[in-house]
Amino acid sequence: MQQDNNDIENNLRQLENQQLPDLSNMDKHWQQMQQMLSADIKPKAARKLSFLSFYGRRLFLAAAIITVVFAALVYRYAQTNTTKNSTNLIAKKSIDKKENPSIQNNLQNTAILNPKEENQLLIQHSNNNTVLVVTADSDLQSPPATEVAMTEAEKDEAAKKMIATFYNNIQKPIQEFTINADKGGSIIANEGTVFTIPASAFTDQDGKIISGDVEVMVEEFYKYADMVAANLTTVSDNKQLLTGGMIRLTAKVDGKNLNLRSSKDIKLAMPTTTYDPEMRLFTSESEPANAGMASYASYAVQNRNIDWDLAGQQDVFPIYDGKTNFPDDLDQPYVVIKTIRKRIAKFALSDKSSLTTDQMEKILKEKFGDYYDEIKVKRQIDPGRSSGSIIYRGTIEKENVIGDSSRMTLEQAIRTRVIDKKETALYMERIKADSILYLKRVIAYRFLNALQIEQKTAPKENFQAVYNYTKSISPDSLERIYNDYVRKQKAYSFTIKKMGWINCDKYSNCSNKTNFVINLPVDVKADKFVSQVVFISTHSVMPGRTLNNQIGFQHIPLDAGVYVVGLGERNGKVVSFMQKLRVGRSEVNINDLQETTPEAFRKKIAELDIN
Amino acid sequence: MNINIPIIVRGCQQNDIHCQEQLYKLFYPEMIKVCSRYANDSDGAGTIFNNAMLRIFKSIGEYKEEGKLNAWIKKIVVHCCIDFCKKKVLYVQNIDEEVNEEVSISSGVFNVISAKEIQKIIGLLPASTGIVFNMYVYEGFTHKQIGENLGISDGTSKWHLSEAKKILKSKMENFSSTSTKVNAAG
Repeated sequence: MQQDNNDIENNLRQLENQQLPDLSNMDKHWQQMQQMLSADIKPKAARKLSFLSFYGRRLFLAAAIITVVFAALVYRYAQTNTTKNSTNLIAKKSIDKKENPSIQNNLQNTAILNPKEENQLLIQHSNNNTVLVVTADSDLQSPPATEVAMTEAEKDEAAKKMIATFYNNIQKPIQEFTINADKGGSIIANEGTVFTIPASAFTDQDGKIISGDVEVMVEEFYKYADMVAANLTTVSDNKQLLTGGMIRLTAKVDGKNLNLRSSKDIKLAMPTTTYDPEMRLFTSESEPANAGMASYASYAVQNRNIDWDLAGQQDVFPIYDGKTNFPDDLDQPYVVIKTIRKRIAKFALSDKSSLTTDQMEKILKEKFGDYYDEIKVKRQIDPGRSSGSIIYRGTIEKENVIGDSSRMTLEQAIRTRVIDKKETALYMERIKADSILYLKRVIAYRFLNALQIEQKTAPKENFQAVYNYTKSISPDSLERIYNDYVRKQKAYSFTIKKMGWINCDKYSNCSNKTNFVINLPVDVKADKFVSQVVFISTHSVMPGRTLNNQIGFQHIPLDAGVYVVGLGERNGKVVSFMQKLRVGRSEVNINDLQETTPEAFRKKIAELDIN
Repeated sequence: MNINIPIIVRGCQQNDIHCQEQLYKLFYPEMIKVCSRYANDSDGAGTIFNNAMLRIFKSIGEYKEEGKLNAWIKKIVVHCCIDFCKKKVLYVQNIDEEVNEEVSISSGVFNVISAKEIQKIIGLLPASTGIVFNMYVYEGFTHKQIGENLGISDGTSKWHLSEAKKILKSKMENFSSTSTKVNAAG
């Protein structure tokens, strides 16, 4: 019972660990925190004062003021007498000596880690001319830092770092799931993507098969806002792609990324409301899944430049292969157990048989009594399952089927003399019936899958709905149902062979294309901007490339309605633009660069999905 | 993001707002989950976390133990959660009833229910029972520690825990009988 209790608690803790935190209010809470901080900060000694009486506090305050004044006088004296002190705080002076703001007052400054020296913190002033460099081992009791001018290279580095930080702040949280690698399992991600992972599917970097719990991480990019925030574009070898969504799938154990075994594949279903049978599977090696952690640490978002490669077709509606199960070894047992003393033969009897198991056993004993010491007959709904194959019995309802079957075409059955030629008509009828049954099952499966994608769960009603649906299917309406089903298709199905980036796309068939450039204000550098062109009527995003001090867009369909979206740096601040236009002019001027915050930018790009 | 904890901590010790922001956002995802367990809504959770972070920023100068920042922050956050609950629940009544009955929940139930749904159910527990349950199950407090923190006896704490499990069992099993979850391994 104690074990039960521990299990309950462990189960609850495990579930809790799997839950993703709600980060939607983080920025709002941080703003509230800032207000609290500005009102109440640095009273390290305040708690010790709590026991003092009202008068005691006043006395203490007076003493504190005297101490501060005294300390200031001593400090000033020390400054005039000492040109250098032994502090570890590296302090450099600003060019502009008129301004000397203190650290505490500079709330508008930007603090970033120095890209060259990891143990340095750069505090960049809002005027972009000065910087405080604070080393990690700085003595906190040392005099305040002074300022130095940044070189152009340092400014560029700082801008890149600032944009990288900005991008990190606008990313969606990565969804994490835990599955047992030995068993495999299904994952339904937040936006409806379904992954079916087979058992023992993962290996580590050394090729060793992983067992036990594996963390599977999923990122879904179906909305423009998410694509732009992740700087994802839909281009393959400079050709425009129209996308049905992008996915990033990674798995890790103990922090190390895993590969998919070459003999295994993952079934993927990507939800859609506008099914297009021409969609294909694209993947990318630009950011291999096994390179480091599934984070943006090694591939800065603003540098992302994925070139998608065509990797496969959709898992199309399966076509019946024209084969059926021939009871060629009608009288053969499905298993023979050999012991030292005897040989036991086990036969399977179809549930469609009118004979009882005892009657069949008697017949078999007469026939095979010399071969086997013991004969056992077991009634099974589907005798073929005993050997691992699946038999679709079709319309053959009354037949005394015993034992195993072989799956082959009618021609093969006749050629190998499994059946007699005169039985051809019978088996042709069976093949037809089997094909209908097969199609029904596939439709039922897809129908169920679509219901699950819609509702994310599979309540009992779903199975009832599938049953009713399949029951209503008649052979002559099968084709109509098939066409109707394709039209209502709710997901793109793919088989993926490796982890990493996955994109569901098709090539744009637009032939009339053009190039254009955008001109940014003269005081900014184009190479400090990340920009995309987002298409209004088709689902596609294409990247902008820096050309001199312009941003160029190539191979863009003429007359297309688009938004040009950009994010970059101006005077030490992050600025953005988003402008709607119709492609036609060779040059477009962007004058309205607005200072932005991660929240404001996310809000702005969310409009892309409304239009 | 390139994160260097010692630098962030030093920045916080100097009241640098950017380092404070980094520390705040670094621990927000993990700690807001803790706070959400004790608050009814996102605003309540935010209030608890902000109170905790204010305490942390005030006393970060005293932080010495290298490498134990996470545990130190979590300790403060949990105490803020308890303080928050204490304010809401005016007193936790002592109960003399003996707890002999152990409650077990079928492990299958956990396969058909999500953490969010469990949190909802826990949110429906009587306030004091919910606090004891959270402290015992998720924070790892012993009944003695819970008793000391909430000013109740060990027996009362045990009673609340048992009561919480009973309610959870009935609600979870009720839930699992009405729905089937597919998103599970195997």
